[in-house]
Amino acid sequence: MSSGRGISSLTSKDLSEKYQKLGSSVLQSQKEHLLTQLQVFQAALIQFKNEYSSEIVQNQEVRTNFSEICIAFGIDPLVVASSIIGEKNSSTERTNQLCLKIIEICTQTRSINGGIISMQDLLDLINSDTWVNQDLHLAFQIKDITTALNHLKILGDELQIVTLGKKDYIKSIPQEISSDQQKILETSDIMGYVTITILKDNFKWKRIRCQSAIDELVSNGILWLDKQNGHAIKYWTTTWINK
Amino acid sequence: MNDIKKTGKFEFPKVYNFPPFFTEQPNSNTFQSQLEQWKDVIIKYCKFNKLFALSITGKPLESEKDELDNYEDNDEEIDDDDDDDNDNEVGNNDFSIFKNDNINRTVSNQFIRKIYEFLIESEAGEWIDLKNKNHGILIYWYGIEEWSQILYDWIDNTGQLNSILTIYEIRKGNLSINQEFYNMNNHMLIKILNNLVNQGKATIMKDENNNIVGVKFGGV
Amino acid sequence: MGNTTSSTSPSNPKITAHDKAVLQLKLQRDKVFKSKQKLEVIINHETKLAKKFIKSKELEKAKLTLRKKKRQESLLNNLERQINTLEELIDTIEFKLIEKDVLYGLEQGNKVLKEINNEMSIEKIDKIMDDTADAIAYQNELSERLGTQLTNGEEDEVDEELRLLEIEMGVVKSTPHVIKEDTTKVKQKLDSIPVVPSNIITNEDQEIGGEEEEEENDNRVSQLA
Repeated sequence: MSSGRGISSLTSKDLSEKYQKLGSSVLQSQKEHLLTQLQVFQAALIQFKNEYSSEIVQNQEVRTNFSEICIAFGIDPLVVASSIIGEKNSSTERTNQLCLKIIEICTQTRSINGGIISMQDLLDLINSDTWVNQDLHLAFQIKDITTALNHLKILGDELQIVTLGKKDYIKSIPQEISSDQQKILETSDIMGYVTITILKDNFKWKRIRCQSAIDELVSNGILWLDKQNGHAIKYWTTTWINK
Repeated sequence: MNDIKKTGKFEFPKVYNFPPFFTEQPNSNTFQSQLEQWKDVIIKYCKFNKLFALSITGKPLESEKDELDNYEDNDEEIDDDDDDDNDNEVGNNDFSIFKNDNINRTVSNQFIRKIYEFLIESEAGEWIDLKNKNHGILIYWYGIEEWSQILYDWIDNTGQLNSILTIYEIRKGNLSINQEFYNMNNHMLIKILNNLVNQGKATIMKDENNNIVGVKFGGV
Repeated sequence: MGNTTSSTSPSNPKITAHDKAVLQLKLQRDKVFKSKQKLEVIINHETKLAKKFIKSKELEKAKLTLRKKKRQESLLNNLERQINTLEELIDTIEFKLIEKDVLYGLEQGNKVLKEINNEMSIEKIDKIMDDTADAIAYQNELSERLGTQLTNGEEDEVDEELRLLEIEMGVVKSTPHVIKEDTTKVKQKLDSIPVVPSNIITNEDQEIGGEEEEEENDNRVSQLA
C-alpha cells in the first residue's frame, strides 16, 4: 500500500522540512493574531485620544505617557498631535510632528529620487498618507512645510530648501549641489530630461564639464539614466515619474 | 481555446511610462528600488491578464498552445493580406512587458535577466527549466503554498476528493473555467501538485513515459 | 483513540486499479478533446481560405477547400460523439464506485446493528433485571435493619428529613444501584421503599426484628457469594 511513502517519510531531511513547514505556519498564524491585537489596541488608543483630548493637552505627564504608548503601538504621533486642535500647544506640536513626517518621506523616497524631492511631490505624499487624509481629513499646505522646515533648522541644515528655476525642492542629502548641477536640474525639469548635447548647446559648456556634473547626479541617484540602442543617452529628473 | 478577452486594460503604474525605468540604474539604491517596482509591475500585470509564465523576453507563455500555434504560423503567409477581423492574437504575440511602445523603450536582455533573478530571489518566480533558462520563467502572483490551498479548497468544495483528475482537466476542464488557475502553466501546476503530495493531500499518477498526467486528492 | 497522533503524519490517498482505469479513460478523453480543438482551428482556417479564393475568383479552389472543410466537419462530429461516449463511461464508472461505497457503508451499518442486538440479548437483560431486584431487596432490608435500631422519635425525624430533602430536590432520584435499562420497573419498586419500613416499625415494632435480622444475614451472604 503506502509502504514506500512510510519509509521515505522517515528520512530526516523530509522530516525536518515538515517541521520547518509546521514551524512557519505556526509563526504565521501567531503573527496574524498579533496583528489583529495590535489593530484593536490602535483603535482603542485613538478612541481614548478623542475622549480625553483636553486632558492630554493640558497635562504634560499624561501627554508624554500617551504619546509614548502611541509610538509603541505604531500610531503616527502626527495624528495624535494634529488632531488636538484649538489648544495653545497644538500648533507647535503639530508642526513638530509634520517635521517628523517630512523627514520620514524624504528618507523613504531617497532610493528613488536620490534625496531631492520637489515641494509639490512632498506635499502630495504627506496629504495622501491615509492617516492624514482619511482619519483626520487634514490637508497641509506649502506654508506648513516651510514653517516645519524652519523649525528643523535648529537641528542643523540636514534638510534644505533649494530653489531651481521657479520650483522649490527639498534636499535631504549632505552633498552640495554645484551651480552647474543646479542648472542641469533646472533644465531637466522643462522636458523631463537633459542630454549632453542640450547642455553643450545651451550653456556652451565643454563636453567634459557636462559629463562630470551629470555623472555625479546619476551616481547619487538624482538623475535616472535612459539608454536605448541607437539613441543619445538621456538623463531624467524623477519629478517626471508622476507625469 | 478562445482566451476570454480582457475586460478593460491593465493599467500600468506611472513609473512604467517613465523612460529611464527601462534602463538599469547605476546607483545601487536606485537600482534596488527599481527592481522592486519591476517586480510589482510584473506580478500585477500577470495576475490581471491571468498569465502564469513569461518568455525570456517577457512575452506571455502558454505551454499548451504550442501545437496549435504551429498551425497558425504555417498559414501565416496565406492570409495575412486580407485579414482584418479577429486576428489580434498575432498582434498580442508580439507584446512584451519589457517593451513599452508608448514611450519607445525596451529593457535590455541583460537587465531582464537581473529582474528575473530578483523575482526568483523573492520567491515570486521560478525558472521553468533550471538547466535552460531560455525556456522562460513562472510567475507566482500567489505563492506556491497559497496556490496549493486554492486548488485543494476547490477540489474539496466541488466534491472531487478521491476522484481521479487529469492534469489537463484541472487546467482546461469545464469545471475550472471560472477558477483562477484555469489555463495554468503545466509546469506550475505540477509544482503545486508536488507540494500537495508532500503534504499528504494528493497522489500523482504518471503515464508510461513517466510524465505526470493525473492526480487523486484525498482528505487529511 | 490514537486518531489524534496518527493524523499528524499524513498518508497520501491510495491509487486503486479502478482509479487507474478511470485515469486511462480520462486521458483518452483529453486526447480526443485536443484533436477536436485542433480540428476546429483548421476548419476555421479553411473557411477563411475559401473566402479568400472567392474574393480572387478562384472558384474551383474555393470549392475544393469547402469540400475539405465538409469532410473535416464530419470528422469533428465523430470526435464529439466519441468524447460524449467516453464521458458517459467515466460518469457511469464514477457513479458505480459511489454506489459501491454506499453499499459498503450499508453493510457496515448492518453489521454494527447486529452486534449491538447481540449485546442486548434477552438473557442478559433478564440477568441485569435480577441483579437489580437483588440490589433492591438488599437495600430494602438494610433500611429495615437500620430502622429497627432507631427509636420511634428518631424514625420520625428521619422521615421528616427525607420529606424535607424531597421537597428541596423536587423529586426522588434513583438509587445508585439501579441500572438504566429498566427504569420503569425500578421506579415502581423504588416508590414502595420508603413506605415499607415506616409501616413495619409503627405497627409491628420489635416482634419481627429478631427474625428479620437472621433472614437478612442469609440474604447478605448469598449476595456476597
